[in-house]
Amino acid sequence: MATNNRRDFLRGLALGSAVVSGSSVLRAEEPIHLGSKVVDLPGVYHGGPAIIENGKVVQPRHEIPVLSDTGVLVVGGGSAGVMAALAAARAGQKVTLVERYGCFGGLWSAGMVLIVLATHVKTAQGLTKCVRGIGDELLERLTKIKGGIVNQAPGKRNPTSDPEATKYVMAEMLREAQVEILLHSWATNAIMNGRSVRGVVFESKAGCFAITAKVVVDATGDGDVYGAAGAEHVRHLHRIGLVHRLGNVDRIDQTKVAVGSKVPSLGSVTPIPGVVWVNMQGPQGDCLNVRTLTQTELDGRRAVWQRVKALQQRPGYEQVFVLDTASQLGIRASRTLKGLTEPTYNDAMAGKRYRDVVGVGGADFLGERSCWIPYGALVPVKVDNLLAAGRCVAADNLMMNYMRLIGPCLITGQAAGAAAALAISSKCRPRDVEISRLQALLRKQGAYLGS
Amino acid sequence: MTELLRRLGSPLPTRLATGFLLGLAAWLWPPVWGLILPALSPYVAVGSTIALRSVSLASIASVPMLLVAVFCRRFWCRRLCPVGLISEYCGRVRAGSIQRNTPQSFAPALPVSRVIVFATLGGALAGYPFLLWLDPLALFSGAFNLSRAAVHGVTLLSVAGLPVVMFISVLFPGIWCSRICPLGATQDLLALVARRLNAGFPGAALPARRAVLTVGVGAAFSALVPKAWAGRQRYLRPPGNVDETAFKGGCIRCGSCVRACPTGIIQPVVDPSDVSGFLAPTLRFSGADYCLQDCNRCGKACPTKVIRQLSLEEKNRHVIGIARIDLSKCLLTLEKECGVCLPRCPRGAIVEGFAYDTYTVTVKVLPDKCNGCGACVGICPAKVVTIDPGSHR
Repeated sequence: MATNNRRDFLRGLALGSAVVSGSSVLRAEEPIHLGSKVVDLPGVYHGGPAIIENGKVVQPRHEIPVLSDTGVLVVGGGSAGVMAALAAARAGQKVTLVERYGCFGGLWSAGMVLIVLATHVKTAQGLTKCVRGIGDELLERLTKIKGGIVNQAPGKRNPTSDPEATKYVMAEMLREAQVEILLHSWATNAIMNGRSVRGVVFESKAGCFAITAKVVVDATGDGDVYGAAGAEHVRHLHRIGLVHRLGNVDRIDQTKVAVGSKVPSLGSVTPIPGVVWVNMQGPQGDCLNVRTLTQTELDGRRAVWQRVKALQQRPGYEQVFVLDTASQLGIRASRTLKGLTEPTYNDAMAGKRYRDVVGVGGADFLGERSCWIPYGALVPVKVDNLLAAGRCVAADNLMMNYMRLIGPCLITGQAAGAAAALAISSKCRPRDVEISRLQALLRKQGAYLGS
Repeated sequence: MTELLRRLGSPLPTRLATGFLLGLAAWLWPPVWGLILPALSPYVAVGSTIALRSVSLASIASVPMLLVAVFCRRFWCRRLCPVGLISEYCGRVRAGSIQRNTPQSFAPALPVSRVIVFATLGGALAGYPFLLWLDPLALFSGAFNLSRAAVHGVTLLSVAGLPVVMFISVLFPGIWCSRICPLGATQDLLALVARRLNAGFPGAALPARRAVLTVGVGAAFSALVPKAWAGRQRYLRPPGNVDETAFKGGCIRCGSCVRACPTGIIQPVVDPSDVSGFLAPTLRFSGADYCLQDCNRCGKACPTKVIRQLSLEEKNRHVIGIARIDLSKCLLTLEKECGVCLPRCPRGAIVEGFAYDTYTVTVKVLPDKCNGCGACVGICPAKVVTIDPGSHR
């Protein structure tokens, strides 16, 4: 029976031959019921339970089943990860995208950071769109959906999208590009061969599994993969908020609002009439600490409800209600990579031009000027076969506050995906890709590299 | 045209050579313009030393000219002065006014220049040497702010001194050197003193009684007027500044600090309501420009030391002002993405506070850590950070 189960399990995960050694125990020895029927399904593999050895909790050595081998493995399905997967797949590589939640968009959708900041910069030609390429294609597709996005039009900037529309459009684009999608899998470790990343270990309901890849893109936002791989990085404490949306804002009875009373600032516009988006800064904390996250989640939720309760007690505001809160905390910064190049505030203000530019952006605190984003910001100093994308790329304390916005996440995501694909097709390490070919590929994909 | 060239001909070889050497020195070592040249002037040295009640190292540079003036009347004017040379050539531009400066041509018929000197020295006694900036060498070096003028439009005004002298010289050839220039008058007075010591009392154009009177009027003026003429607005001054009255009077508007500042934050004040502080340097922060922690160049560059020469350590202890953040417009307190002033502050003087009862963020400036360097001003996207000159002076 045990042998059968194991064979079923292995076949189910398309593993070929995996040997479970030592004290590992296979689960699913009990029959699996479907209504009144007993069905034959793969078992659940945990590699065996942890044990107590000399008073310490220990996980015994065990083999990890390899779910698949892929070309580009993108870890994290947020704005950067989705762009990376699309860019790599469109460049002709086999791509696997793994996401810990059940939807795409990460902080944009699940974290409900609905406003896409830093889409434009000021140039001699006036307001210039800097988020182009696949990111802009996504924003444009959202305009085709009723209630998908606002402020995405010529002359407008920093659009606000609907989270559900964003999740849907991202999934559709990934499926069209034939990206292999894996949801509900949480990256827990890197697979190393010396200084090279060979894949990532994920945790799932069925225990842990591995995916091996030629190049891994760390789009986890928190740099979980490069952190595990031992790549040099910088830790940050930043504000953690819990954003929410308010409904019935169009039903505020202006006749009841006392004349001359201070009108509370409710939030910003969303594609849905009568609904506003409310940001929250929150307290500073360590986003990698589960107790901090728990406390912030609890405190943030209480703060939202108390604020809305106070709002509802104002004459005229009785109908306003909490539509929803983000299902993911608003993590602003946790890790930034120590990359081959560190974009700094002073360099940005001095208008530094990088030979390996892979994108151009800018932010209000940079005076809206064009800042070049170098490829070196995505490449770890020592670790190979790994690229960072999104808010965990290399940047100094100030530039990090630009890099973490959705606009630049879309830019660095596409750049990382294109570079990973190019590394595979040119059979070289990501750090060795030919910059001119990378830039040509990015331009072909519509990216804006300045001028 | 040929007539003009003819009249411009026959240059004085020593002065041309001096001009050439000066130009070469300034090209090789730019501080020559701002620091060395004005410091050569005994008028500036005596005026600023009396006003500040302290002898600065820079004022020693004036000793050679002081001694030469005593023994060889107006040697500087005749042989070395670059402004004199320019003025003389300007005087030649107009037909029928060919004139070469000779000892006789400096004979003062109207002693305006001596009134200026005595009144300013009187002012210096009261702490406000109000016409010190008329020194020709200060005006000359101010003209070299032109390179910065393109960057900061207002600097153009501080460049105007030399062109005004040239204009006067074209209209009234020789009048600048003989009747207005306070440096010339200072030299005359020095020669006069020497002669008086030797040979009794020659007829002076400004009798001793009137000289004393002028000094008194200057002192009274300086004691009463500067505060009345000062605008209501208080200005940020370069680090190491002396007290406001002495600063406004002792500053000769030479533009040396403006040129020395690597970030270009030192700019002349153009405020019609602040007569006494007109064109004196202030600090304006923008973009990435602020008062750097590893720089004390303005103090080194100031020829009159109204910006004291501070060591880096002293300079970083010096309080320029204190940052004030208008929290009612601060993006962070409005729950918008920002907070960049915190990591920007090189001294960790801006801290974030969190109020758990309202669950909102506040930003606070620590007054004991902030020195008003202005790093936070330029980066603020909402432009709600200002540096308050504070009550430290």
